[in-house]
Amino acid sequence: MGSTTWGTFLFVAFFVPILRLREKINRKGGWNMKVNGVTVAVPNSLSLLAYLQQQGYPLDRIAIEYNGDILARAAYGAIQLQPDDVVEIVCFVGGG
Amino acid sequence: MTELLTDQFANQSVAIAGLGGLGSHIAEMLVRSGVGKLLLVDFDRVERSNLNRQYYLPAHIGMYKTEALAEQLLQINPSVQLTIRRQRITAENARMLFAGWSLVCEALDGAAEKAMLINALLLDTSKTIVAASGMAGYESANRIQTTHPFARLYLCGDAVSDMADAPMLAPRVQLCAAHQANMVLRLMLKLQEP
Repeated sequence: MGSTTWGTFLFVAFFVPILRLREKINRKGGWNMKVNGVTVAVPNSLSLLAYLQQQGYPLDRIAIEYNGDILARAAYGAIQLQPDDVVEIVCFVGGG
Repeated sequence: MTELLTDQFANQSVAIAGLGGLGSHIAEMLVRSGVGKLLLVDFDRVERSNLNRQYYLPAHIGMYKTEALAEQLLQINPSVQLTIRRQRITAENARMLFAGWSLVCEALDGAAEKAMLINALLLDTSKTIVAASGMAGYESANRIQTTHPFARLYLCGDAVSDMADAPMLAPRVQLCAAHQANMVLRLMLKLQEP
């Protein structure tokens, strides 16, 4: 194999994963995840429940889809946020 | 074409949770469209204050909404199959009340009750819900839209206009109900885009 092929191989095999990992780690040493389609930074070892409380969500008025699955309310506290998590939060207002 | 569509919906079924301004109109529009089978769930009676936006008449005041609405729907289509449950929906009984109904319209009025129903029913992976949030007041009608936030949840409304801050008026309530009814028909036709 020529040096160009080797160079491409090395770049793809080693540097691309490192670059992608760096995108997931934010400046404060936490993770980036997506909430309602927007990339947000979260510190390491934060539970979903703690995140919701921090953001001021009214816990009795929301429903959450976490990485494609609806999440039981009782599970919010046990979920530790991970890099690349995709969280959809619906917050209801009254009227019917 | 009209007859063909009516036939197409005759074997379709949908559950309506709450028979207020949203639910009563969703049911009315779906029965007019030829949907053959509906489950109607509500515990409440018709009050005078409901008449500004709900599909009831002064003669219905004091009647249970389930019975008053059934009477109206049977006048529209005498052969529609109605199942009636006169019960308050709770986190404990929700799954039992809607067992066997895969398509559910959330038409409750309290924000916490709405969230409760979505949480209780969506854990059952066979269910799809068309819900509503944000239809109070008289902000621009153009803000009412249908969105698709979860794989099995469609949400109609403007997401912000709370009945705690603005009066519930017929136009935006019926507009939101029409969004829900239209999404139900789309899902029955296997169209998943909001």
